[in-house]
Parts: sequence; structure tokens; C-alpha cells
Amino acid sequence: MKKKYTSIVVSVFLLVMLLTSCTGLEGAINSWSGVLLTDETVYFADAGHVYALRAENGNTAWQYPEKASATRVFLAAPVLVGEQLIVGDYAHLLTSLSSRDGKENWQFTEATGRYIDSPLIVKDTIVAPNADNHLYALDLFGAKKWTFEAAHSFWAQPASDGKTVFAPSLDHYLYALDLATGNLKWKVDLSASLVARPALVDGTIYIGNLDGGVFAVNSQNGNIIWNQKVSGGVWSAPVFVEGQLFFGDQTGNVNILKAVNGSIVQSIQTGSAVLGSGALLTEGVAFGNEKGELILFGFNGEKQWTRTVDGSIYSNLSVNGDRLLVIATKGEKQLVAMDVNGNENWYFSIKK
Amino acid sequence: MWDQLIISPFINLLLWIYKIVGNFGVAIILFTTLTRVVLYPLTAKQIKGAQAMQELQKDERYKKIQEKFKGDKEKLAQEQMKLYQELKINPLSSCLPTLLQFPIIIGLYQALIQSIASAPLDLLKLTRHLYPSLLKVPELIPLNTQFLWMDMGQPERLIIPGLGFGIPVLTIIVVITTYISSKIISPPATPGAADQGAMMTKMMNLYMPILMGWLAYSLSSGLALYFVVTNVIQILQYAITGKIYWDNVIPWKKKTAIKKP
Repeated sequence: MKKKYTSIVVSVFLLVMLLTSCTGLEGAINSWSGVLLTDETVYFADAGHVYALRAENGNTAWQYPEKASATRVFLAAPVLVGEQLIVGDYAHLLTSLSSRDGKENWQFTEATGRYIDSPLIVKDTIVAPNADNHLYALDLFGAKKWTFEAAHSFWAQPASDGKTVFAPSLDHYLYALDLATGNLKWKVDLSASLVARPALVDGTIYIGNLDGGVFAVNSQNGNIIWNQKVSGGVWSAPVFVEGQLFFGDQTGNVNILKAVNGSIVQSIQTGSAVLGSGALLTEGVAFGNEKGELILFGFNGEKQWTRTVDGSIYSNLSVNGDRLLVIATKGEKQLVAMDVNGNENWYFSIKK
Repeated sequence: MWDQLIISPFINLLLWIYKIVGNFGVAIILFTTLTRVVLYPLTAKQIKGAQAMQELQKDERYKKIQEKFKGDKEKLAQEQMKLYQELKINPLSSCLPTLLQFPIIIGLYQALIQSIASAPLDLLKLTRHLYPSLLKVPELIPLNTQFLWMDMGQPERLIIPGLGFGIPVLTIIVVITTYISSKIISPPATPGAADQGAMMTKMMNLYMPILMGWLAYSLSSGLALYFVVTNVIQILQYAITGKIYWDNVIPWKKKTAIKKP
């Protein structure tokens, strides 16, 4: 009889495992990781932990928290303000850590949704987008200054000119809010969900939507200066170089548009989705794609070189000086540090 | 292949319903109902097969065989097979429909999860599943996942002002409906008999509501709603197709029945 009981318990256990594996409850990652690169340190948010790695060799300086939990998933790139490292997680917590040793300074617990992307630091204000439809503005001690509620989630880091916060939302609107009070200055409907960060250049906001629409918006009044359509959804901010915008799309194109009128200069097919922001290097702009290819395009759009990593490149590329960081989602090497020619210097791999 | 044949059609159907009704909770209810109705012929076969096996266990010849060959498993199996043939019972008739339904149920489950798309990679996958001729990204995304007091993408808790914690109402309903749906199909135990089948059923009836409740408590409320609708439909289907043992749901009523000579 005991055998029968055991077989029932095992069967039910297997069923639960099967169901939970279908849902991702077991901790499967349903987004991509984020990284912050400084001169000395790399802060890497990868699922259960935030790691501080030495930029020169990738050795771990500290990790937070000590033990990973199933619910506290860190995927948004951390941001640094003074000696505070601000990290958001999927358990609705925004945490300030000491950048020296990873000890907690404070925690903001009011949000009820996930922090999908990084907060924005403007002077002494932390502006954190949250999937609970709110934008939270805090002071540097974690006290709330104001909140703003949209009709749907905020997934992307806003931009700011120091007076106004420009926040894209999944509800199709780009909101302009007063930095000091959170009051709405204007909003503009950009026709589809906005999951990409905006780029603010000389009073114009450039942003793409999930339907492949790309817009230039006047930051003073929200008027659309021009709009253009590319072949696939845009997931990240364009890189602005000498009057041109470089950005990828979901169909695998790297698009080059004239910033002045939105006309398409070139669309170069890479073979798989290009979701992350490019990295501006001296020889051109590098982009990663879903196949794990890192491609450097010259400023004229010509391919300079291609490197391949194991896994998919979804995250924004990070560059600082002659160091380029590539996050390989579902790869053996989760984080690869390269020089600007794409030669690997070191990598960081999490022991599962 | 799995994605193309199962997941994508399910996702498009679910979201097409959502597009019409404009509410994700209602879409889940309609979608689950529709798929259960389509699967009804298989479910009916399974129920009939299970009932035939239950009836068989009450048959005097079956009991005699069990008693006579309890020390000889090979002979017991042979005699049981003869009896199956004589009574024209296929012992697999209750298992096969379940097995056939299983991939569809798993697909349904995955479609639901992927439709909720509460993180970037999920959303990326979702946009790839959509049939452009049927559903357009700007019309559909973001999904309004609010249903009554619940966000279909988040675990459900009913917050009552003044109470320091949220009440998992949907979890409680999942536990109750799972308990009822499993209890009403089990025939009352034969007095004095301690057969293994009955013990196994008893264990399952105990574990399943707890485990389903745990899943409903920890996963998104969209799935919990799916569990509830599935359970309710299952109860209705049993009511239509065959016998329902309501007495089993009330424990003290069952004890009274056992005391009868």
C-alpha cells in the first residue's frame, strides 16, 4: 500500500512540476538582464542577484542578496547616484544599495508591479517606471515625492531635460511631466505600445513603438514633427550620430533615419530581431541580434565586422571607453566584456 | 511545430475573443468553455469508460476473481482480461481520451500564460504568435487584464480596507471546486472493503485540491480563473453524462451510508 501512496504523490508532484514548468513559476526568465558599466565596476542584474564585478577582469566584488529567491528577480540595469546603486526587481521593490559593498540603504515598497526597466536619476530625484501603471518619483533617501498614474504599464526608462520627464507607456502615450511636481504638461498618442526608451536630442524626442512607428516629438508641446514606419516593432532608444538615428527592429533590420525629417537612409537586414540599443564606438555603431551576432556598422551603414556569442543579444549594449559589454541571454557566458574591436577580454558566467 | 499547431491557434482564438468582448477575464471564461465543449466527445468517452470500470468493481464475478487469485498476479490479470472481453469493457477507454486531451490542455494552459505577457520576452513571443490578418498589435496591446477586482496577470488577493492582508478568494474557489469535481465522481466506498483503488482515490481527492489551490495561489489569477471554469464545466459534464455522487461532498453523509448493512 505504501508503494501506491508513493506513486500517487510522485504522480501529483510530476503534474505540478509540468504545470509550473509551463508557467515559468520555477524561475524561468521572461526578460533580459541589464548592466551598468562604470570605469571601475560592472553592475550586472541577472535574475536572482545583482553582481558587482571588477571592470578589468570580471571578478566578483559582491553580490546582492546573499541568497536568491524565486520572486525577487532583478533584470533592469541598476543605476548609480553618488554611492547608491538603485535596483528594481520583479517583487515590486526598489532598493538602494551601497555601491561599495552591496549593503541595503533603503527600500521603497509602495509599488505593486514589476520594475521592468531602470529608474532615471535627474539631479536629486529618482524616477522609477513600474508595471503597476505608475511612475514613482523619490528623493535620494527613498521618500516619495510624487506619483503619476497612466492607463497602463510603464516599462521603459523615461528621459528628461532636467525640468520635464518624458515617460513612454504601454497605453500608447508619451507623457511629459513636471519633474518637481509630477503634473502632466502634455501627452501624445503614438498609436501603439511604447516599450522603447525615448532619446532626447536638442529639444526633440525620438521614439519607436511596438508597431514599427517611429516619431520625432517636440519636447515643449508634444507636437509630432514627423513620423516614419519601419518593418518591425522598436524595442529600444535610437542612437543619434551626426544627424542620423540608428536603431534596430523586431524583424532584424538596423535602420538609419535622418533625424531632421525621418526619411530612411538605409535598412540593413541582420537575420534576426535587433531589440537592444546600439553602442556608439569610434568606427561606427554596434548592434546585437537574437542569433547572438554582434555587428559593427560603419556610420555609412556598411558592415565592419561580426562577432558571435552563445545565446541571444536582447539587452542594450554598454560601452565605456574601450570596453564593450554584451549580455547573452540564455548563453553559456551571460556577460562578455570585449574591446571595441569585438575581441573578448573576459566573461562572467553564473554557476547554476 | 508545437507552437505552430497548438499554441498559436489557441492564442489567436483567445485574443480574438478578447478583441470582441473587450475583457480578458470574460475572454478566458468563453475560451475555456469553448475548448471544453469541443473536447466534450472525448470527455464523455472518458467518463463512460471510468463508470464502466467502477461498475465492474461491484460485479460479483470480479470480486470472486480478486479473491481467488489474489496470490497469483499473472493468473489474476488473465482472468480480469477475460471478464473485460465478456462484458465488452475496454480498460483503456477512460485513459486514452485523457491522454489525447492532455496536450490540448497543456497547450491551452501555455496559450493563456503567453497571452498575459507581463514581461518583455513574453510580449516578444506574443507578438510573434499573432496572425497579422486576424489581430493587429496596436489594437491588441496592451491587453486590459483587469477583471472584477483582479489583474489576470497577477496572483489574486482581495484587499479589504482595514484588514492587514489580502484574501485569496479565487484560490479558495479553486480548492472547493476541485474538491467537489473530484469527489462527485468517486462512488461511495463499499462497507468493510479496504480496496486499494478506493484508497488511491481518497488520496487524490485530498492532494489535488491542495495542489491546485497552491498553483492558483502562486500563479496569475488568469490561470486560477481557468481552473475554476474548467472545474465547473467538468461538474456540469459529469451531471449530463453520468452519475454524480453528491453525498461524497458532505463527509458526515458518507459515514452514514457506510454504516448501513
